Parts: sequence; structure tokens; C-alpha cells
Amino acid sequence: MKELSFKLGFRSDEMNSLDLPVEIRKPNSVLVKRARSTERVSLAPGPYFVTTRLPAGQTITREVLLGDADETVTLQPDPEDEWDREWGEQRHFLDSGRPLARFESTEPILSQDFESDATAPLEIAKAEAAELPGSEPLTRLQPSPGRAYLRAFSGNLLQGECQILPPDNLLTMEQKDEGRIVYYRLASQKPIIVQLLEVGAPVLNLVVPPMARIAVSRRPLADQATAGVFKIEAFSQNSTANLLLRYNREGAYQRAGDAATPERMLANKVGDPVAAAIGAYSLLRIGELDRLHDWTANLYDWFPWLPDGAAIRGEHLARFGKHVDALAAFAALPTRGLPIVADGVFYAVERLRMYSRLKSGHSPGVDIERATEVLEGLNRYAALVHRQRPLTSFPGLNPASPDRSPLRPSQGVLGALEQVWLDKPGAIAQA
Amino acid sequence: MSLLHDRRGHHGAVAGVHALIVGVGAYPHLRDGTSPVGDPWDMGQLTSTASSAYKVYEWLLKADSEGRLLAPLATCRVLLSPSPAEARLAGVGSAASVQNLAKEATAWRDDCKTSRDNVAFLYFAGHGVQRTTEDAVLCLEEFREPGFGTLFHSVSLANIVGGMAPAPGFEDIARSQFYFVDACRVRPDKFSEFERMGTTDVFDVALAAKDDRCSPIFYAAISNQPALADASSQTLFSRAILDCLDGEAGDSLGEDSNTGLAQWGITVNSLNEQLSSYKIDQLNREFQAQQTYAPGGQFRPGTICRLAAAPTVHFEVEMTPAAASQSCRLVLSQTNGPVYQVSPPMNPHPHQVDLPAGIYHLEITFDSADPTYRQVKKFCDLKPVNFRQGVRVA
Repeated sequence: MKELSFKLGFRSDEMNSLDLPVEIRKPNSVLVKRARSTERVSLAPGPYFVTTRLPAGQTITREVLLGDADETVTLQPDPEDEWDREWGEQRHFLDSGRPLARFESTEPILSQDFESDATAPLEIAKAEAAELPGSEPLTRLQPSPGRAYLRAFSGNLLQGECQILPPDNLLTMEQKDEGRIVYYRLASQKPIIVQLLEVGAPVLNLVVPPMARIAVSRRPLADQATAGVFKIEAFSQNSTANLLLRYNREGAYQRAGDAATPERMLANKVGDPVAAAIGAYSLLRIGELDRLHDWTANLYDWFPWLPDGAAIRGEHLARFGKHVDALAAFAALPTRGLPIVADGVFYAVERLRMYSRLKSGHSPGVDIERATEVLEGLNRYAALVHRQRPLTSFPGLNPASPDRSPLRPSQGVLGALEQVWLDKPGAIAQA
Repeated sequence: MSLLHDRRGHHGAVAGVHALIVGVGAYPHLRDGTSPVGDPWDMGQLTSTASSAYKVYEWLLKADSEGRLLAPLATCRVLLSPSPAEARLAGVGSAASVQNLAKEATAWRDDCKTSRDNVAFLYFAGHGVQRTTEDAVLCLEEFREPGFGTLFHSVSLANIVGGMAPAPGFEDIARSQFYFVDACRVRPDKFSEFERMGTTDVFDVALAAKDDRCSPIFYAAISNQPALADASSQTLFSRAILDCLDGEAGDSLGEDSNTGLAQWGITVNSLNEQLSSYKIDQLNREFQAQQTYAPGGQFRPGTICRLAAAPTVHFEVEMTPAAASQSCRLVLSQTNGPVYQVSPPMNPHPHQVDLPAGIYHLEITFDSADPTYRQVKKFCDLKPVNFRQGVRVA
């Protein structure tokens, strides 16, 4: 047997640090082994093809002839697929650009009748201010059509807490391609909610991981009718977590599961718990319960601020039939908040609904009332969370009161950061 | 008579596929029905759902006859309530009422629980209501019948999936369970009350033991519109599913131990990936539709069906700059030599060819020693259904 290892040949460190899933096939396409690019694989001598497929659709295929010696194969994008600079490379290979409807509706996203209804929004604006204590120092602006705005919030939404955060200290612009895309670095050690506002479209709230990078961009014209003019994406600090989220969005669950190493992401308590959680979701999706071992208990115990730890622990226990303990984990959500990953919301809601509907003879030890209580808190969001967007997202000008109303131009908003760099479409966005 | 296919006696103790297929087009109490309620929540008759369910039934019979299913098709229960536009299906199977569904689902589960190696297959086409975005309430024929609870004539998919879990008394239930939900989706104004509105339970759900099922849910949802259908009166989602099962989601399964040849088939993950990243978008472009798709459930690796041969891939090559197409030679090879060649000029350009899926060596060369363009040699792992290869030579 000889050993085959891999080397990545991207431009950026964040791409070269990835642990990409690779498939090793015989020349007749038969799959010999699935591995990760950091692994060394033992194989019988012979010809093989190594393929890795990126979430955005690029495929790298290399031939390797294993003879008497070990081999290293370099997985470098073909010239046709290369990205011409270091920044933005991650987005180029991870984001397919396939538009998701901003919300799951076939109605056009941009409402055309907002000009005729200028009175109703004021009431909403007042209610928003009243519900958001501590927002007085922030400035209020009137949003203009065709422009994008960002806001950020903290607080446990499941407890009705929601506070606008001053955007200037929180969002630091890192890069921009004027008229096309702006990247921000988020200075927050905890998950927060970032809000994208666009007149005529429902307001989008995205739960984002700590220290995330936020990209706000203009969509191609062809996608704007259903998806809105502007797009927001969040990138975790951890490149592998980003990879897993994007694979899952593209339905590549097996690849995400192959690339997930949540136990390594949580080594010695010093790893990235959000990345570990994203890895755990990938394994739950494909039912790899044994690979989760018992470290979901560590994720739950060591990081009491992480809602996803509760959702993952609960689902993991439920899959093993330990429903009383599962409910105890899910019941921690109201004190932790809304999970960062949408799967966490859905796992919790599905299990809690089942527990809440159990009949007395079929509920050994399960506290049906407690399940019902926790479920009610989550249901306000579960009804509106987007299934295809991996990070939890939902509509509503006030994140504590989700709804689908489009933003109106006369509706004053507090603490919003205008995306001036995106006011005019750049050459690429127009194409 | 809903049991349209019953081969239980023929296969003895061998595990089998047990299918439950439901298609509801006629809703007498909804808009344009025979006795509509005053406020039908903007829900009306569906013209292609029963037809789609029947096509799924026909596909199962065909796949079984071709030996493509992982186990022989043992039973197939069909409940259809066709709309007037689907009159040819009148009398096929039993009516898709909530009573019939409860009865047939129980019989279906009884068949499925006889062996872990059984395969459960459920397809539903009709109206659906959602209480949350992950939830699916399936509306049966008498939906909204006056005198009954609002959701009495509907069932929750979660109740069915939960009732099919390994649990006391069901330790040996089928571990491969495939759920296809082809439902319109409505969000009536009464949406907020739905959590308190109970659906009819098909099963008494007991708490499951270890859930080691491969139990993916392939869920289509379109908002408050009649099910989108193509010219053959088939819902777009059923077309997407059947196209994929016939090869468009094909993947290599492994090697035939006797012949050494690659075996091809459709896995739960290849189907999910193809629906998520390509097929639904392709049908939306073709029909100017806005069909959506969302997966749910547990995607443990599992094979849905086999293919007789490698699936066909529509391969397209586009040269950059386009002028290079006039002097380039294209050769596609596999281990036993060239399988496809194009001599200059490459007309038409971009160039398209249908090939069996597999790994190919692509070679682009130029007859004259033109320094303007570079030669390209690379491998392509061609997977269904479309593979577009841009080639930058300058």
C-alpha cells in the first residue's frame, strides 16, 4: 500500500486552510474512498482520479498514478476557475450565486405601491422605538428607494429582548468593490442579528456568528425581481464552517458531512464552538450519530451562551431515544436565544411539537407542559425562518416582532448604516 | 381498492418496497368544488396532482420490472381523488379521504415493520398548509368540510414520519424510508391559530428508540397557487423527481463484483444535490415558474434505485476567446482511447455533445503553432445532467 496526500493550491490562506472533501475514484468512476484534503490515504498502487467539488460548482480533477512511492497531488483550480486576487476568493469558490428568494413567497419581492401609503409606517416606527430601549442616542434616517442599509441588534429574542447596537463601532469596512460588494468585520464576541433594509422589500434579519465577516452586495439584475436588489451574506471566522454551510445550502450534505470534524474544532475548549456546532449539524443531517460521540454534551455544557449547543444536544439525545434529557436540552433555548443555524430552530420545533402532542400513555417522563411552553416561544420565528438559508434568518423591522411587511420610504429607522458604496451599480452587477 | 400492486406472496420472506401514493385534485369544499365553503382561503381545485401521483405509481412499476429498485416492489397502495380534468383516473385506487389514508397508512406501516431491509416509499400530491416553514399539513379530499374541525381532513407529515420511527413494537421497521411531498402551500389569515388546530392523527406516535433510519423528505412547496404543471399535466416537482430518478441525479454506486464494471444509481444525497443545485432551477427557467424545493428529515447515505448504465451528460465546451474555436481541435478520451473528436473549425460554438457520465481527458490543441493560444489538457469528471466547461486559451 502507498500513501496519497493532498495539497491545496489556492491564492488565499483562508482557502488553503480548508479541509476539503475529496473523492478518489478508479478510471471507471468507481468510488474508492472519500477523504479530507488534510488526510493521508493508503491505497493499492494503480491509477486514480482525485476530485474535489467546491460549493460554488467548480470542480478540480487530477490524475495520479500510484507506483512504488507515496504521492502528493496538488488540487489547484483550473485557469478557467481561478480568482484573480486574494480577497474575495472564498466567496468566489463558496457562493454559487444561485439566488434564494428573500422569503418563501412567489410574490414579487419589491412592492410597487409603497408611494401611495405614507401614513401607516409612522406608527410602526414609533412602536419600534418604544420597544427598543436604549436607542435614543442613535440617529433616525428616512430610507431611500434603491439604497441598502444595515443595522445590528443584540439580545435574547426568545425573551423579547432586542437592542439596537451602534453600527459605527461594530462594523468595520474591510474591502469594497464599489457598486458591487462591501465587506465588513463584525466586532462582537457573541452572536448578534444583522439586518438588511431595502425600501419596498421585507426587512431581512440574519443571526450571525461572533466576529463574522459580512458581505453586502448588489444582485445581478435578473435576480432582483424575486430576491431583492441587495444581498447579505455572513462568513464565519472559521473557513471550514463556511465551507460546510455552503455545501449544505447546495444540498451537498454528504460532502459537508465528509468535511466536518467538529470534535477537532472543539479541542481543549479553545476551538471555535460555533464552527463545531456547524460541523455537528452537518453530521446530524446525514445521521452520522456515532461520529458525534458524546462531545455534544461538551458543546452544551462549556458554552452556555451558545443556543446551538442546546439544539444540537437535544437532537442528538432524541435520535438515541433519550427524550427526557433531550427536552431538558431544548428547554435551555429560551435562556440562550435563537440558534445561529436554521437547522437548530427546526430540530427544536419538530421535537417540541412531537413532545407537546404526546398522549399521557406515550410520554414516559416527558414534561408535556414544558415542551408546549418552549415551543410557543419558538413558533413565532419558526413560521418565518427561511429553510434554504443556512444561518437563521427571518423578516421584520423589529427582530423581536417578526413580520413580512415591506420597508416603506417614510418609515424612519434608528441606527441604520447606509451602504453608500453600493448606491450605483458597478459594471459587474449591471452585466 | 387501493392496493393496486400486491406481490407479498411472491417474494416470501424477502424484503420489499412498500409504497403509499396519494394524489388529491378534487376538493369539493374549496373554490370551484361541488359544495364550496364561503371562505375557501383562496384554495381551489388542482388539475395535475392525481395525474402526477399516478405517474409515480407507473414509474415504480416500470423501475421494478427493470430490476432497478433495491428490493422487489411488494405493495403499492394508491389513493386518488382526481379533478374533473383528470377524469381518466376516476375509479383508480380509492378516494384520497382522510379515513382511507389512515386505514391504508396503517396497513402500509404493518407491511414496513416486517423487516429492517424493507423500503418505505411515500408520495403525496395535493394542497398543503404550513404552520411553520418546516411543517407540512397534507390536505385530503374533504378538506374544510363544514361540521368538522378546520384541519380534521388533513394529516401532519410529522405524524406519519414519527409513526414510522423505530419504536417499541416497531423495532424491525424499514430503515430506508423515502418521503416525497408535492404540495401547494397556503398561509391563510388564520395561520396563527393553526398551532391549536389539530390535524387528524394517522398514527399514535410513541417516542422512538434510536433513530437510525435513512428517512429523507423531499419537499416541494409553492405559495398559494395551483400546482404548477407542464404540458403533460404533471406537477413540476413530480417531473423533477422522476427525471432525476431516471438518471439525471445519477452517481457511481460502486463496482459490480462479477464484471468489475461501475454501477450507477440514484442515492438520497445525489437526488437532494441535483434538486437543490440544478433541476428545480432548470424547470423554473423552462416554465417561467417559481417552484421551490426544501429537503428535510435524515439523509443517512442510502440508494433509492439503480440505473442500467451510466447516465447521459449534456457536455458543453465554450472557448475563451470565442475566436479560438475556429482553429482548435478537441479530443475527449477515456482509458481505452478517444471517444469524441472535433476538428477545426468548432462549429457550432459553444459545442455540445451527449456523453455517458464518467471521467474524461479533455485536450484542446491548435494545428498551427499559434502563440496566441495555449493548449489545454485536463480531466473532467462528467456528472449528470449538464456539464459546462469553459476553456480559457488566451
